[in-house]
Amino acid sequence: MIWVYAIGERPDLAPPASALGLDGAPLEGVREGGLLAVVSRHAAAPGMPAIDALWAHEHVVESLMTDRAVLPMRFGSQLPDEAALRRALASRHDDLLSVLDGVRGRVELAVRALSADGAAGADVPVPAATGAVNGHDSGREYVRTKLELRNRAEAAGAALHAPLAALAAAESRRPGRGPAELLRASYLVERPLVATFRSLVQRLQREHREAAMLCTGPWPPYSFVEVAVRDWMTGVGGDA
Amino acid sequence: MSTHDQIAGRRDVALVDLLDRLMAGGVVIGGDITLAIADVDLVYVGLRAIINSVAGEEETGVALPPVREGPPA
Repeated sequence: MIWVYAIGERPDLAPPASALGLDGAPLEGVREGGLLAVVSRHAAAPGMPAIDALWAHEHVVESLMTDRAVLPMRFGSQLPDEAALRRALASRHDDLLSVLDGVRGRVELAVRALSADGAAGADVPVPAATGAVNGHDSGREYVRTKLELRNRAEAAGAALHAPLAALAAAESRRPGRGPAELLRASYLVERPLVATFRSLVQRLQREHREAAMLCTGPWPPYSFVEVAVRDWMTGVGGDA
Repeated sequence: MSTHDQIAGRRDVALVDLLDRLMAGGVVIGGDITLAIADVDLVYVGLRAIINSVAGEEETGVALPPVREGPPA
């Protein structure tokens, strides 16, 4: 079984010798046209613990980012053998190169903002279902309160997102995991602008005391490689 | 909070973002995701508490240096 970490450009350049894959496995490059897939071979699916495996996958991708543009693979991407991998690379060769063009020189920054007032709104008490008129009124009040809180959270998230998106080459916003999560987004940022982006997060934090903001990264561009290769699996999955 | 705790906390906070990216982003190729979904759910459950405690802090959270008053340097 072949575990795939990333697809990069510059196929002439071997993966860094110092980097190791899952379970300490050595890394190999599989070259196909202008692409280099970085992989490790395993007799069976690599053992867990899962969190160590996640970081191991991440560190391989990061090590490749030091000398080339890379498309990180979703964790768990594996193929039965090298022939299947070559077929997959060949079938999407030009699309992958064009996605690489889009992320070259750029990194992903993650921003989350959580409601700073103790996650107010996450727990509007559900009224007791008495069935009486009072119960009906309190039910309506409950829904109204919920809606108000949601609208306020959406407005707060948008106010944080807009200036960050303006500084980014691309953005990807995902729904919060609950009413307390005002913003959960990724921004594709030119490397020289990372410090500027962080300063902007700090300025927004000063201006928006209703939110607790978290900025992590730089990450490989996980959130900006999906669109053009969405139908990858339908293209090669049949015979893999 | 000790430096050790801060570093550990920072890694845990980053883990949420790591999961968001590795499990939901990236190029999808070939076959199976070997990380059992149950494991991921457990990680998210465990980390919710961490996120909430970070959100409750006065300052900006562990992933950013503290905000100083006054004009930016």
